[in-house]
Amino acid sequence: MSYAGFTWKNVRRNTRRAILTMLSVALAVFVMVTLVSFVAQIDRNVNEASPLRLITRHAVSLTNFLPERYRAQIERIPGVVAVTELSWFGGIYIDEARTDFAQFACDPRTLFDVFTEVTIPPDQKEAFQRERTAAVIGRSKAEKHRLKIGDRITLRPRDIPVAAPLELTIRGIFEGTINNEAQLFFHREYLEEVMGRPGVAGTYWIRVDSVDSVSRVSEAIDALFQNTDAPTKTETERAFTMGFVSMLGDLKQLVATISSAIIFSLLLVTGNTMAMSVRERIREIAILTSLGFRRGTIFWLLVAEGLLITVSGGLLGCLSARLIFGALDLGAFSQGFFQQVTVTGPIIAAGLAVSAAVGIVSAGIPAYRAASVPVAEGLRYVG
Amino acid sequence: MKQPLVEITHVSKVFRHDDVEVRVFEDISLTVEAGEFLALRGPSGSGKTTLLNIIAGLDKPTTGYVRVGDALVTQMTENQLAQWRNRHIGFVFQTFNLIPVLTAYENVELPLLLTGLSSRERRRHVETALKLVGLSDRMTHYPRQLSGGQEQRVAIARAIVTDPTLILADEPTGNLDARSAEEVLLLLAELNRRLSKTIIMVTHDPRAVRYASRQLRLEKGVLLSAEVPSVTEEPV
Repeated sequence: MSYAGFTWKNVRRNTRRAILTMLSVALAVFVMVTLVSFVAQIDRNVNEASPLRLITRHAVSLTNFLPERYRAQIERIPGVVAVTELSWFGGIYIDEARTDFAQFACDPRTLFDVFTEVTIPPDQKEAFQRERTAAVIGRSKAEKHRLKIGDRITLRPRDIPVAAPLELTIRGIFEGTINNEAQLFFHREYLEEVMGRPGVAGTYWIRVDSVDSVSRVSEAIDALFQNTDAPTKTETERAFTMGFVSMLGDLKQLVATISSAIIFSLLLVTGNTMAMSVRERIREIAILTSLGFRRGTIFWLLVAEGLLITVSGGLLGCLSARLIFGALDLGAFSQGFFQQVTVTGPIIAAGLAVSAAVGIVSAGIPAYRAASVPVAEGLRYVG
Repeated sequence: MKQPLVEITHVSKVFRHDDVEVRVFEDISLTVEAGEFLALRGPSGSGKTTLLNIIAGLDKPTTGYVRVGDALVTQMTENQLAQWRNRHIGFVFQTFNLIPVLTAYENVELPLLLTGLSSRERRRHVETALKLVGLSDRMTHYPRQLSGGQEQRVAIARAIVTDPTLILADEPTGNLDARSAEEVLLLLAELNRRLSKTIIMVTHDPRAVRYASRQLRLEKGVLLSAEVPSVTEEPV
């Protein structure tokens, strides 16, 4: 028998209690790791934003459209390299469950000039630009839905008032990003046609020539449309993404509050369990002292028990989160809003660190008290 | 002149509960020679167990000092005492005090975890100790699977496994039936006679003192010597 074996035997002393405590830690750590992973994923998306891209939208709301004539005026501003409209369509592909990607109407001639990080074979790009009902889709979604060049897909409108479903032909599969290859683009001309030519665009995405131009171009665009019936708000892609996320509220604050509540409740649960476990063994602890065990050794043996329970629970919670989010199709649940949430190594390490800290604190206090009980008193203790 | 193994000099113990002082014993002096089997008797509350705890360094005397071998117990720090107890003291309790989640083997092995012996060496020591108490065939049994007498014999094996200088037994037969009590007393007597183990045994049991080589009574805080009856004087 070793110290580890002794600790293991003590943990198994009340198997049901140990398992229930471990599961409560696992569940709490799972929730915490999930929340943190969502926030981290949002942060990653924000950080992926190009510093050279600007987004112009209606100053009142993202849901208000802008006139199509704005584009030509924006293109004339010095420093602007390329402009494309992006109008969110939000159609249904086959059914709700399989609609796990966002769809945008764009200008096929300039789309890849604005999103320069995206790669697509030249022949596919040309085919996409040539055909009015052509579409391009990201590789990850194409592979998931087994879509290949030449396949026809139908997008049924959900919120947009269009006369008929969009009948599209996949002419290109892009790689790179545009949110992890998880979007579909088609001709704005086609959307205009089925909508009865309202002559509007949802947003304008603009690529500028340098970081120095960002602020100037942004101010110039908004100044240009300041006194019109459709004033604009132009911001960097990063600011736009953050603003989009902030519509969900102050996520970080919310996650921090929930995580703190989880950790506190964990401390109460495991603290109570460890206190019970230690209180039942005051006499045994005194016996160990009489056998020659130092108080410090006894303290760490008891803390090791707490650690074993909480870290096992933490590991279970972290690995469950990693497995579940690795297998779960979040795009289908969020209509493409979240494509992927990765429970990364550092997040797992943080989850384990929290569970270890909970173990040390919750076991440490009763362990310290128990190890401090005078031996003669402990030997008389009737638990 | 041969130095006694245990030397208790002018030891007194006072417990304080709030403002109330309870004087357990006062100015007790006692020596125990190496190889002695001392039985310490006395009524409940006379301080027998407290005296045993003080000898083992589990409790501090209010005044006086205790020397065991070369160790001045009353002057040692907590950590020094822990190490010293592990090497020199074997404790046998009335309620056996085995760890319920450990087998007989593991209970006996427990004090050896602190010695730095290898797993193989520990095994040899544990098997020898359990063989000595006649429980070689119960190594894998948990305390709940043993009778009271067997539990106490495991406790004795645990007490002797480190080959201590001194065995302290606190009412070792107090929770046993007559037959088991006799077995335990015979075992202690054997350890004393054959292995020359020095034993101080606190007991209420008048039969138990017959196995000792010397008897003392602790009454009203005073130590009185008493004659030890022969083992054959009355049946156990």
